[in-house]
Amino acid sequence: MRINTRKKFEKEIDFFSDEFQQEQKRLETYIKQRPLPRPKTTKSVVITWVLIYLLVAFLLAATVIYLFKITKIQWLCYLVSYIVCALFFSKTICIKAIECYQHYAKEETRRKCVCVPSCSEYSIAVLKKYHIFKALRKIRIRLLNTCGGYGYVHDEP
Amino acid sequence: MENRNKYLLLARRAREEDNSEDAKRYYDMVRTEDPDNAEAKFFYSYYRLMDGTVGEAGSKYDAMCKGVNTTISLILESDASDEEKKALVLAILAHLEKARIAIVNNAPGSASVNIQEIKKSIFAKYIEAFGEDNDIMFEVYRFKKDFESRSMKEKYEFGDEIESKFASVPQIMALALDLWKKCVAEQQTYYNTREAIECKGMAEKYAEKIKKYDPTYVMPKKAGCISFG
Repeated sequence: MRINTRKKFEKEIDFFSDEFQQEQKRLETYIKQRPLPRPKTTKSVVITWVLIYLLVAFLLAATVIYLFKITKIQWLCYLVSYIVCALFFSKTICIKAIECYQHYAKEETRRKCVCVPSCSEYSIAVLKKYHIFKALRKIRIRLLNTCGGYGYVHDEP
Repeated sequence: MENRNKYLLLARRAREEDNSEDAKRYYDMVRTEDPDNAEAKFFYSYYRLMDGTVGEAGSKYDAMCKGVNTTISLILESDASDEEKKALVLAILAHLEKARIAIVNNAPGSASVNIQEIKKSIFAKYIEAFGEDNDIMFEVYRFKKDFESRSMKEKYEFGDEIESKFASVPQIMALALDLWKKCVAEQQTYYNTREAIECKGMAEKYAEKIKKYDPTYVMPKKAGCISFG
């Protein structure tokens, strides 16, 4: 069952309907026993990617300043360079950060999620599928509105 | 007559020990000795249902339920002691519930008889004969809890009703506690729905109430990755 969580209460939940109860039982059973993937992404991998981003952004700005001999608005070059690189690296860094969470988070914490697929799996899928802004918006809706408060929810990206 | 009493005693003992094979055999012997014995008729059909195949479960269950009202009347009219009659009626109610659960789990939709009406009529007959004692009230409230659908708020209030009447009877109070626990868990899982919002603050209040009776109770946390409380 899909619930439109952006418009609250648009769809009333009929607790007594067999269809709802059966779907909830099925999802609950699956969620309580689902396998939790533990990717090999550690803290050092995430730090490495952040350092790569900082270095690339710095080198890009420095190259532009050197090539065009900019002397007055160097700070603007750095700013633009960091923003452009952020757009380029953000998806990878976000995915690595989520994988790092999946690697370290306690099982108890990860089993709090009541959605299928879990919020971290959903976030990775969304980041791979959409551009960064749309992905972040979808992740926000998922975390704050969909996951929790409406029972067990099946919500594919 | 002597044989009948002996077999009946053995059958009851086997039933109490959950030895269905012996219970069925002895009740069958009682039926041979005394074909009109109501207790033997009911329990034999019960054990026949439990031993049977899924395919014929529905028809056997229907046949068993249809005979229950007559069985209860015959038991109440018999010359047994009141205690014996009460124990027998309560045992029949318990076995009816076991059979219902077995049918729901193994052959859903196969039975056509309305068990709710039958149970109501048994309760009425028992109360008419012996008054409202704790044993039958436990069955009545368990029936109401299981069969009558209610909103979340009504469930909390139903628990209050039980508490106001039977706070000193742990057996019945356990029904209210069970209901409150389920409601609190439900409210913590579905807290964004209209029903749960109408009951805002009740989960905490009833969790405190449950703790009074069951100090080991821990209120479940709100479901979800980020639940803010």
